[in-house]
Amino acid sequence: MLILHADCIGKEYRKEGHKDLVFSSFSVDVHMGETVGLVGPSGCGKSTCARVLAGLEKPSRGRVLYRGKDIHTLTRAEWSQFRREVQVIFQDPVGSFNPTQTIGQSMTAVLKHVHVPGDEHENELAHVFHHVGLQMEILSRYPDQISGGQAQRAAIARGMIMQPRVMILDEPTSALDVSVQAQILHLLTYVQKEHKIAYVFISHDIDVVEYMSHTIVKMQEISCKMKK
Amino acid sequence: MMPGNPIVHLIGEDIMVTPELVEELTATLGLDKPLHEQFLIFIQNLAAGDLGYSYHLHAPVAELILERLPWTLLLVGTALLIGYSIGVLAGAYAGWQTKQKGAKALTFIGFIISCTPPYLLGLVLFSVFVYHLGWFPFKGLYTTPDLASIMWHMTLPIATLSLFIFARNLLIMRGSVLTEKHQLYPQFARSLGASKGFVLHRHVMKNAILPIITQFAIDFGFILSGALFIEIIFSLNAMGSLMYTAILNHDYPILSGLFLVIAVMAIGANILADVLYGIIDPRIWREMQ
Repeated sequence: MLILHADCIGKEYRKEGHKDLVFSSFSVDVHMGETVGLVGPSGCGKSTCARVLAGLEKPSRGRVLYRGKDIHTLTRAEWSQFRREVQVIFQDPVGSFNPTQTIGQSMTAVLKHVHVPGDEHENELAHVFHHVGLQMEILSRYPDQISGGQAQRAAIARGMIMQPRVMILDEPTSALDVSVQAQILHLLTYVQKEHKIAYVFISHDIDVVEYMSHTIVKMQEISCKMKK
Repeated sequence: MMPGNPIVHLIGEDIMVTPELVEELTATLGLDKPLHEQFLIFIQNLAAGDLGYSYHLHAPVAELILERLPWTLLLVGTALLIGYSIGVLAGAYAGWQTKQKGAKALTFIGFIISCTPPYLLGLVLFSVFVYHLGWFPFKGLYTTPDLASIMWHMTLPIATLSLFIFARNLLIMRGSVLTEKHQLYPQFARSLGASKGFVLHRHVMKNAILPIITQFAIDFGFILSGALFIEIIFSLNAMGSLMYTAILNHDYPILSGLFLVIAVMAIGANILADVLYGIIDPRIWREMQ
């Protein structure tokens, strides 16, 4: 089932009177429970494309459709559902947590955001932490007090609290050691199988993308799909 | 070490006195003792709350400073409160909404004011609002000792210093918010569907305000010296005017007393900044533990 569709999207920024084109005419289909790999050299616009797909930026041209609807014409309720069901995991897991809040405070903020009652927070966190292989003791630590691998697991756990249907993974393993990379990739595969989540997996590492993806799209050959 | 001979300044350069009298005066004031002994006496007197005696104004220094200190604190305290609160909020807006015309205008105004020394800003405001428009009084702390009169006299000096503090904080906060808003944690908060305003107030501002606190500690001396100049321009009988007169008269006891009070206030500002830093950023306490 098609869940997310980019229809010839492009992004450009206006700088001092002229237009700076980041990428253009990019199309992709993301199906439920599948992984679409997005590869390309540094600077080709992969991360900008991820932000456009996640609705964090508007495309300069084209449309992003979620469950068949243009995400920038959604009603407030539909937008709220989109924001809940499409989560982003960033390259720098430590930087994606507020440095002045403990991991527990960051997690609780998300639980409150999805209206989980306060007395259920601990159970919910225990459940999701067990899933991603984290100890509850890290809840009292600050982001700079945990390792990159723990932070990325915590970021995945935080994304899972939202019960997403799509996860946009922007270079989720590139800041990690090789051994930790493998653990995170296995975790992502496990989470996908358990919850039928679709992934848009962005990386400059073609081997990692080939390992993870059902479909691969190369950014320099935009609009061109390559089946494995 | 302050330049000049205090005895010569005390009796006046045009008055001829015998060397015996100079020696006698030097001995009476304890200036013939070795420097370390003089310093020890100064510390002992200081411990007893004695900052010395002004022979020019014929009054104890502590009494002279205590009379004027509340007025300087009123000027600096009120200006700090206004300048910091408006500067931080305006800077957060200018950094968060960089493309809006209002933000660009605020940044431009901030640049112009922060590049203007406080005494020049004071002279410009004095010329416009006192000399040409006649909205505010020419000099003094009050005409009649009541709140309305004090407010009328203090509005323009406070506005001058507030503008200066506002402009400096606007630029620092703008830069800090610009840096923070490109971090990943506000982007994550946005990806949850939180509004821009919520992300700014709940996440970005707390982190962006840290350089403001650091700057407060560094800036305090600069702000205080600015306040002293403003007091002179608006003829406020506070610490600035006292220092100005003391410099002209080479009144060393007053100057050393004033420098001590200013140093204590600057140290106090630094301690306050450290405490605030610890409250806002829990990582600081953690490192200390």
